[in-house]
Amino acid sequence: MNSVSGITLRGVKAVPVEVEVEITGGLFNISVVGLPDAAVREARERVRAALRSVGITLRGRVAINLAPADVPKEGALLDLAIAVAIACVQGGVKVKKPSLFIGELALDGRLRKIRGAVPAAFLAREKGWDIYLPEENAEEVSLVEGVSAWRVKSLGDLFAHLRGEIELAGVGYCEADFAPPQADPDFSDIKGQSAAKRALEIAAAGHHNLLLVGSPGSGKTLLARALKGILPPLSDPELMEVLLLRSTVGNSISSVRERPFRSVHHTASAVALCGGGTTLRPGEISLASRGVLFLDEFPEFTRDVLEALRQPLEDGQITVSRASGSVVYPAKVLMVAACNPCPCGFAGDPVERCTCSPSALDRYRRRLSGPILDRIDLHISIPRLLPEELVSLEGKCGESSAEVAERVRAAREIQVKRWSKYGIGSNSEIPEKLLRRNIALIPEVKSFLLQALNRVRLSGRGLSRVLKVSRTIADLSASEEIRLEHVAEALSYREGEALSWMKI
Amino acid sequence: MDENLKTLLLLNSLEGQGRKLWFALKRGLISHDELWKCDAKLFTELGITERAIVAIKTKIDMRWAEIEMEKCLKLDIRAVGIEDEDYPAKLNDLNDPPLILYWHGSEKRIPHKCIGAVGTRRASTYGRRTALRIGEYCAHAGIPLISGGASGIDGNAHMGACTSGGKTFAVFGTGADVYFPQSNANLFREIRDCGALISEFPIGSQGEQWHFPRRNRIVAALSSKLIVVEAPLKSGAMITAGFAAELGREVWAVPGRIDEESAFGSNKLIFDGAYPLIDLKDFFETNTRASAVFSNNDLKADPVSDIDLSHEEEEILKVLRFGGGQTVDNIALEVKMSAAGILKIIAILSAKGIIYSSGSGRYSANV
Repeated sequence: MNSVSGITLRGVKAVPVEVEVEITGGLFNISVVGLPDAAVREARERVRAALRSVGITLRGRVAINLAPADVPKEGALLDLAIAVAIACVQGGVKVKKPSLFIGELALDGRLRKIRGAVPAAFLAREKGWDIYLPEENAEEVSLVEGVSAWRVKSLGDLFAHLRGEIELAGVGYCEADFAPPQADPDFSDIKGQSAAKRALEIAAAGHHNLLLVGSPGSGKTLLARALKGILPPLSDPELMEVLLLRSTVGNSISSVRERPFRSVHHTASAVALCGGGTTLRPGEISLASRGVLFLDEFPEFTRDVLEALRQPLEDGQITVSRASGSVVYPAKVLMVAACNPCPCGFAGDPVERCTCSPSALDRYRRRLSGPILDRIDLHISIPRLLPEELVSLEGKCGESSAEVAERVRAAREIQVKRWSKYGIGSNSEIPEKLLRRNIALIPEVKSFLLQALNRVRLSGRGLSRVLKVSRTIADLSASEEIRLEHVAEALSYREGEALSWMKI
Repeated sequence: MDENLKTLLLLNSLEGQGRKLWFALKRGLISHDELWKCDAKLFTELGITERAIVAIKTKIDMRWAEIEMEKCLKLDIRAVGIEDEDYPAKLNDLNDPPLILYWHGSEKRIPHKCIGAVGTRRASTYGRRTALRIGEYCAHAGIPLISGGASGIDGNAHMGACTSGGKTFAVFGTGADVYFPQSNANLFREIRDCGALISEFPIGSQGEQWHFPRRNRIVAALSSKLIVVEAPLKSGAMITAGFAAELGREVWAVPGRIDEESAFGSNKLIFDGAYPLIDLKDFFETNTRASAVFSNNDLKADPVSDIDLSHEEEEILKVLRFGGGQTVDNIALEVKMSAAGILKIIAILSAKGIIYSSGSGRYSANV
């Protein structure tokens, strides 16, 4: 018996599906059993036409069984496996070694790109099988080490290869380029906003979530996009995680080690954000994992969507459970939220007048509070620069993203060295217990902090946030000791401080 | 005594008609018993409207005054009658002094010398900041601050007084137990401990539109000097200023920008003859005879005088003192420092309370 297998996706995992075919006499009929979804059932037509194009004409009753029978099968990527299994019975093709066949068939026998090639490659590597996949998926699979994969252009080529007539091209392993991706926009492209840039640098270095408050046109979105450019490139394990997710949803990859940046519109549903549906698709928070999740117009998001974000932000992963099963997706994101200071957007602006009524302001700001904001370490307000200010900044471009990225990288290295024995990767994840034990303050800083505590009424949670951010700022200046200036700067990113001009 | 208070509570709830009855009672045109028996004929002779008579009747029948007294007791709110010794004498300057002041707070009396600070709810950062400073100065000079408890200028003035350990009184346009706006609820709880919440409206009254001008006349009457911090042309603060001028109180106004609508009213007051408030320290020194308080330097009038500043800190402070509302980038153009260095110093200066954030990403110096 030939062992022909395809896969079906279960979250980011590929589940092997053995394809069996029996052809008996009788009136022509093809039936597929084994919980196929609509796309798999329609494979009949594609497979029949594709086989005809290579000269195999189906006759009789064709029964196709997809095992295991109790796992739902989805997607068009089983087309190729079915075609090969039929060809083994009727077309004189032999599969000598257990192999995975994935690909969607065109009616003329060409192979089309599919989603899920990387999970399939992982499965093949684990089982020691060969894998045959569409030419267009070869690039992503080439990033996975130790897979014996073959590029397939068309069904005819594949059959010729299996019969030993020609040799298909293999997919060689090529290590992802470590050269940092081009930052777009670059820090030096953004005029002024040095305060915001500094906050971005701290956020990137310590993986602190960030809230940007500013009038329309002040550059919140631009700044958030620039954050991507100063994050260190993906490491190998991170790259694999990101690759798996991207391949699962079929997103193409432009620059390999670039971190994901997902901008979510405020009309997004909780399912779109967190993942779900009958096929248990990953949500935006998982697609942004190891990268940036940008929530523009933060107060406009519905409360239940924001509440749903709380747990994944806390745990760095999300369990999507539905009737059809449950899957754990990674959700290690750097969340950047942005909002206007008031409904009209011009509160605190030096020129434009705010036209909001006090009660509208009150309502708006109430929406801006809540448990989710407790997960945000850095609050920063962004000034809308006046035309004359913009002109005076002409020609002063400041640091480039590459220079900042270098400092961020160094600071991250220090953190990894310090915290890896506790199993945490960045300052933002330090648990309360470790924080108190590991962060010793010099007397001068202690008394300063005490003074500040009295002045600003910092809560216990607020204090630990300030300490974490201080730790990151100290790491950025490669100082083992947390000094006064570090704490003072961390205090200025507190909610009450950065947004104090909005109060009452 | 109790009977008297009950009568006052009842009459106070009837507004103008109640006041008419009160004067009749004082002049002996009607006796206490007659009032409570609710003699319709006698009432009509005194010029009481039919509607008011019906209202009095129902209120007497449902024992409204007794219930109101119980409510006061339960909420720990005092009802101070017009003849009570704790009743602020200055209110008698009004044509229509409130018959009852509902009083909720630790302070039992309002001293004779008080400063009122009022202004718009939609204040600029400058206005709110100035209100806060006025509150702080009042606290340090030991003068109670009166305001209307609204958001914006009022709230900041109260807050400045509260946080600096001064006394402050908020006059409500709602019942003394109804906190409006709700966003100031925490502030009101603090005012309860360092002053009092005052209202002439019965327990549980919601803020009707006509309540607020009535409230303003009390604010004006209670203050010996009234400061209008920032007010547009048509606003409650302008009404308060009008009352204050009528009552012969000194009216001061904080000069505002001439291109900002929220300061049109306060600027107009100056044009019309109000004193311009151009120097807080000066105002409190000359107007309060409390110079002793100021000379011993515990006032934050010059916060920098006793703090050692590094050369860099002084340089940035100099820039901000010359012109407020600067972004980090603007400062970077003026001083020879890196943006990160400036941020560090700004953080330290604002932690020390020498500068403050005056707008979205903008900083100003405390004067």
